[in-house]
Amino acid sequence: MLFSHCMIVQGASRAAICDLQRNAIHFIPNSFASLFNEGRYLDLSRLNKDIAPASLPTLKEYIDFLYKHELGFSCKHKDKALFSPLSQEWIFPGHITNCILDAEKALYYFDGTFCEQLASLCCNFIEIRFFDQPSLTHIRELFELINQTQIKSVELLIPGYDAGFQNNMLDIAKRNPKLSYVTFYGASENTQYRSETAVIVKCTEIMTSAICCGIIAKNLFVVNIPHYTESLKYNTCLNKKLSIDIQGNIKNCPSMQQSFGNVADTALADVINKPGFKKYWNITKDQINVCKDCELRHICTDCRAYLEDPGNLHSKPLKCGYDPYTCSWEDWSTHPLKQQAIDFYGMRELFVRRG
Amino acid sequence: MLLIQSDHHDASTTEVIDWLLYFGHTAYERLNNKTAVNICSLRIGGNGKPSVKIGSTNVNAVSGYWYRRGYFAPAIATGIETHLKGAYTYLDKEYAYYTFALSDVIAQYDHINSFNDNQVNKLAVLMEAQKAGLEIPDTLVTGNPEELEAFMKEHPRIITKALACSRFKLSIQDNFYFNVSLDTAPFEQSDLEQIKRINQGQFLPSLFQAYVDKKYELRVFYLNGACYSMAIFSQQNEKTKIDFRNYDQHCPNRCVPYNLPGQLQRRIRRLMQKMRLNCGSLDLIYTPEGKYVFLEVNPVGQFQWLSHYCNFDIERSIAQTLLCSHHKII
Repeated sequence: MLFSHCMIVQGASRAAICDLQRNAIHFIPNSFASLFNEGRYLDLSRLNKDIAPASLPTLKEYIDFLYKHELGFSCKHKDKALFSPLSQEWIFPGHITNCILDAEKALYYFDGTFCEQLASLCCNFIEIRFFDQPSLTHIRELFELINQTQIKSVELLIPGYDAGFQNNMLDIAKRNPKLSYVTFYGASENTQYRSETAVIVKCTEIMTSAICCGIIAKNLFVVNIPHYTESLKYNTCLNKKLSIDIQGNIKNCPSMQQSFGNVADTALADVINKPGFKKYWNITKDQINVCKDCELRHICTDCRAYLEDPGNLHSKPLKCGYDPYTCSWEDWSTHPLKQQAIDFYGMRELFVRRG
Repeated sequence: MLLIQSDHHDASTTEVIDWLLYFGHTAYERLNNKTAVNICSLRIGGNGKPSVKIGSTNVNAVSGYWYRRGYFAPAIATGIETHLKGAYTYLDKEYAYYTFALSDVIAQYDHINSFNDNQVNKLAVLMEAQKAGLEIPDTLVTGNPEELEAFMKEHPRIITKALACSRFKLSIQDNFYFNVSLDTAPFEQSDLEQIKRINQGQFLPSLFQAYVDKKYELRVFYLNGACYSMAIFSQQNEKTKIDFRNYDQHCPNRCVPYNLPGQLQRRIRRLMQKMRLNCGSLDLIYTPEGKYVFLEVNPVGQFQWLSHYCNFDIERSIAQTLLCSHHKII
């Protein structure tokens, strides 16, 4: 029997066992996955009778594989009912789970009143993305405000061209434990380490606008219970997300066109009740073309801002290079079938800069 | 108004408060760590029920109280603390009566746990558990090596563990201390030989228990009759075989939701009611022979890992319980 947090997800060509406790993925053939009853246990006494003798060694090999990775345990028939399946409910206490704030150099509207608005939405996680280098005074002022609120963690995306600026930022991170993740883009190296209170990432890539977002990649997979259960009923990028773009427009996602008012004159709580704001929240991977055939659909993120077919709400994310029919990864930006969409979103410039 | 007593860093408290806020309830007060009895007052007699004030909060106005962590104690001037150790011990005892009474009055209102629940005696619980129909391990508290030797003849393997508290702070100097943890440990023949050899076999009374073979362990979070149960597969890992609290961070024990048989749930309910505990964490063992053996109950145990591993809604339930008591009174 599989441990109840080890979930089989079948795709077009193979299946994945998502180990939601140890945050790991293991691939198995669909033929093996389909032997599981209720997706969670193998009836060995029946299988030993039903399966052709020639296939038994292969079956044994796969069962050994489950034991080796501690994905399951042996259990008597009568004890099976003791092990209840994991609840599929996504349990989260917030009207908004996370908020993205984009800025050139400064978040001019970020004050006590704004923080109170976030508090009333129970939004405890914010991501701030600076597309140009802010002043250190501004960052310190932001954290003076944040430290007085219920906000639990802050991710910062910030230019890392200048080593002196980086060091000052690290000092700010040390003094403000709520700053849990700092990404320096445009840095001279690709590194990642964990300080006492934060993860510090340096990358050479350059992020000059929201158009750089929406990438689906292996290193962005999230293999845990909250993400998995959210993906069963909601969109894993846009559900309960609130964003403010560099012009102060309040949107579901900063990369999207539709604005629901400007932060200068619109209350956040009013925005989330406006018709259309939650348009994408319930689009699950099971409804999205190609994704619905993918064994990775409950651990990856989604993107509705950049689509392979911009005219189709249920089209696959443009920036995903995985093909679940061949189980292979390709560079999405050079893929011949994606060129039209890349032009549609005006992304050519991005590759020129990256190159 | 809800009153929550806890520690500064207790994440579970914060998660429950997140739910209160999500339900739109902002009227709560959180006391952290030590609450000085200096700011409390207790009125008995006069008109009506005994009443307690904590700072500016009158407990009469409190609609629900959750004791999670933290404690009531006197705030004593440092002069007394460092120079007159005897006086300090005396004052500590003197105020123990007061904190007990304070906590008792607060517990007359709708509450989840109380400060006094910390006093639950492991030995008394074992006796009550047996009366409630739960199986318990054969247990001996003794300071006599002969008695211990005879006990070891009866049971091929035994363990020893703390009588009351398994964690304490050992102060060496004013600013220098060790955090000592006394987890469950096997007690072997060689340990007995050593005791006999040193100190002519004299040792302070300690708790010994027959070792119970485990198929897996069970952790049950109990709240007003409901049991949230989790099976812990601790036997695959040498580190956690004897005491699952020796966590392995890199390769956590498999922990999965578990359906406790109805009869066992009824017995647990009987025990908790007898101990006057409306909330607590229980440890049990499921043996390879298919028997359930009760080990202990911790009134203020950790439950965050049950919620996280088993996708239980414990924090939401606690918030709802507190809010229900709130609405009941209004």
